[in-house]
Amino acid sequence: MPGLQHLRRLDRYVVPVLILAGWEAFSRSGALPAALLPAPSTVVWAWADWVFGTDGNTQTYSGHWVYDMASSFSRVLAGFAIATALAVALGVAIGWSRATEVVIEPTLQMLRPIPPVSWIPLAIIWFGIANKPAIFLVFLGAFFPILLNTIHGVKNCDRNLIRAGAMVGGNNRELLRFIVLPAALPNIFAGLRIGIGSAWMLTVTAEMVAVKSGLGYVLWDSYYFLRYDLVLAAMASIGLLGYLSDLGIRAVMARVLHWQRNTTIQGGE
Amino acid sequence: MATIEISHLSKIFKDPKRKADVTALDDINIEVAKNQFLCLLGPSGCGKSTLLNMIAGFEKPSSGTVTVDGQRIAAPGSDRGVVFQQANLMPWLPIWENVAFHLLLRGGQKGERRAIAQRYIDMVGLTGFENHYPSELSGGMNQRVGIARALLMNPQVILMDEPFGALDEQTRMDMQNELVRIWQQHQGTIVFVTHGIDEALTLGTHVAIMSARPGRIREIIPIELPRPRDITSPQFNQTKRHILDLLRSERANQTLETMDQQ
Amino acid sequence: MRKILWAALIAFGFASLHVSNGLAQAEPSIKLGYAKCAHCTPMSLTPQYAKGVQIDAVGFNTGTDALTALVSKNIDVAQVTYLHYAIALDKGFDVVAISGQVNGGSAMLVGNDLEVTPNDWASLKKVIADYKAAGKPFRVAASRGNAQDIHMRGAFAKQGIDINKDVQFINIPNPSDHLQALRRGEIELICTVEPFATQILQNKAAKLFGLPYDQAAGKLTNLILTRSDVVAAKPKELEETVRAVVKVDEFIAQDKSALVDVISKVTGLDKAIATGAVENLDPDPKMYRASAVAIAGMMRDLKYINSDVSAAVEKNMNYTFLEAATGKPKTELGY
Repeated sequence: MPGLQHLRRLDRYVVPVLILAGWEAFSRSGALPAALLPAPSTVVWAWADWVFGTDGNTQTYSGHWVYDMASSFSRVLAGFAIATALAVALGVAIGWSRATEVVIEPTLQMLRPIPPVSWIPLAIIWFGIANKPAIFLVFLGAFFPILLNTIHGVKNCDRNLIRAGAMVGGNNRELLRFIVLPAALPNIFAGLRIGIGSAWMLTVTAEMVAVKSGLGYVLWDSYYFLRYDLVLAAMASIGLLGYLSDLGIRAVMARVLHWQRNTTIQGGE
Repeated sequence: MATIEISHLSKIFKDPKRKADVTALDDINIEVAKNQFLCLLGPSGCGKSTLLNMIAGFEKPSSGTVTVDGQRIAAPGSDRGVVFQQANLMPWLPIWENVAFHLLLRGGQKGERRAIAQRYIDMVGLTGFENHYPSELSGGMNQRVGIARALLMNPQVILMDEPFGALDEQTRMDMQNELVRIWQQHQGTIVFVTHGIDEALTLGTHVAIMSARPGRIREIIPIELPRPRDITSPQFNQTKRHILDLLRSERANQTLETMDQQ
Repeated sequence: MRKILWAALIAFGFASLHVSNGLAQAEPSIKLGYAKCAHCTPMSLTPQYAKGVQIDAVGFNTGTDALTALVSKNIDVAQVTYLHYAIALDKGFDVVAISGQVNGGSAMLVGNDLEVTPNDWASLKKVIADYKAAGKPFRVAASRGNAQDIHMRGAFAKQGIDINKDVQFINIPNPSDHLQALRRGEIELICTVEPFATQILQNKAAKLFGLPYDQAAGKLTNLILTRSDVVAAKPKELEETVRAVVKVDEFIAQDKSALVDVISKVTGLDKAIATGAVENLDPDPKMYRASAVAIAGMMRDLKYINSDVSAAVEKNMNYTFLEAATGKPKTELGY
């Protein structure tokens, strides 16, 4: 990318540091009651206790962070995995076969705008309380971005590659497996990145529903007890884990799509 | 029986938007015998690529038939190898996998596939580049991969659609020599589309001159010059002059037609 | 010409909106927030009973949301619970309690197949012991931190059941989920709130064990809060508001069917459920100081709050409006 040379290493931290400094100043100024908008230092203090159990100020959550993180992470992983499998399979079918598209796609497009929150009552009826409805809601969030990007990737597959495949004697199944799917992978990965973001965003919604642990659960419980410092710490935790998950997907992407190294802007990163 | 028989072949492209159908090919009749090298020569838009696509099975005729080895052509298949204008390699596969793509679909063992691919990579002179990716090679090298891929299938017929069009003159001449060498070594029937007269005369045992829209065969000329073809020899240029005359009268007819229509 | 006319019309429209807004604000007004549980719904009637003050009553999903709106100065008065009061004081928020509203509304329900006799704690303890012996967890649920949770813990503690050791506590934050949890057999006992308790019983998803009022917190539930700046700026309006609350309480205490109507209207549940719910509701505008202090103590023990707020609980209960509205001294109002 052009123009990176003149940015020093520390430049990526300027904006976050400025925001944090401004926030700390504002909180200490007393314009709002301290408990309503805790200063970053208070949030960090609460977060430290939540993770390490430093001084017990988060009471029942002291030292519980790893467990909460693991609970949320396992739910996100499960929902995301199911969403990926289903969305890629359906996406390839819809992108490849006009008949499938005509039959299935309108229904999916009608389901897509329904916000996951509104699925909560049905989710509880179908799956009960505890992990399953939460996984279902995460699934809903991740499913549609992956589906749409897969369809796009399949439909945009270079027709000439298909011709080359037909020429070497491939039947439809072989064309799908050896040409269409690999050609669609860049788009599928784009969908996966969006999907994992949605999945983490829905953690808060999903964990409203009678789970016993997790970052979203802590967020709601803390809100109930007016512990806004913990609410902010929970939000930051979710953001952090979302970022790390995205890094993970990008690492896989770099490996699988290594052949793009010389041909795309992204490959040159 | 000839290897390729094209009989009363026509192709009309319907254009519902503009309500003007385009006749691309009109009553084509060609016979290509075994191991012949036929060049389809004509100006741009004369339908030579369309004709090739129909032999390949990518398009269906509006009327008439295409037969290869007695079988009517309905779809693409590995009995007719195609080398495209753009190499059309799978960018995510290394060169050897692209060459052995036919075997990948058949599901062979990796070691076997690699060994077979190596033979053809050597044949087209790309030894040492087996593990490179298409994006790392030049256009000419990628075209050679396309040729190796087609050869590997051991097809009866190889169809080539202006494969050297994007190359510079020097590389093109080298590739032409390579192609002739491979054809002589390997045997097989080749149909080669080009708009370059020199190229057609350098390569083919026969040259079919096509007229522009609607595409028709003006003449099929057998070339009996010795190989390697010398483009400076008087016999070469005699044939070339004949072809040029044909093409010029074609253009004149076209101009007259369009003037009539105005 | 037409464009100018249209522009003038639109400008006039905006101007008149502004004027009418201004006119409406000429009368003293109180913005009031309430939650959407059965006992809270009568708050939606206060605007009709208010004289000399315009009450703008806004419904919130939970008491916490109403409390948040109060402390962030978006509303003047909030109907919440005694627990919210303690939590707010613990966090150093400026809140003043001015009136009670409706108490009760808690019910303990057990799974249909449990061998438990209603109100017989001995039978319950036996079942718990049986579960423990068999190595099965006896799962007890509530919405953590709300009044029903406190009532249940208080009752258990009084009966000698250790909620941390003898049973397994499961938090189901949303009362609407309680029905499904019982129906699917995911919990054995729940302490839930009206009207959901009646709904569960009428759907035969569980049976009634008893009411958890025999403990330090009694049946105290709802409390009306405001802030000290509102007390300073709008004392007259607050007095009228409390008067309206007292009148509503009198009205629904006399005429139970009116309470049924308002519950149905606001929550959307059918009359049969609302009728069952009102049996467990006790309209009472008095503020009970001693029990409030006991509740604060319980919450500290349960680690729901960090500090000892007993002094603040007493200091911030302001009986002047109740005294003015009822004409009684505070000693007769729960002090």
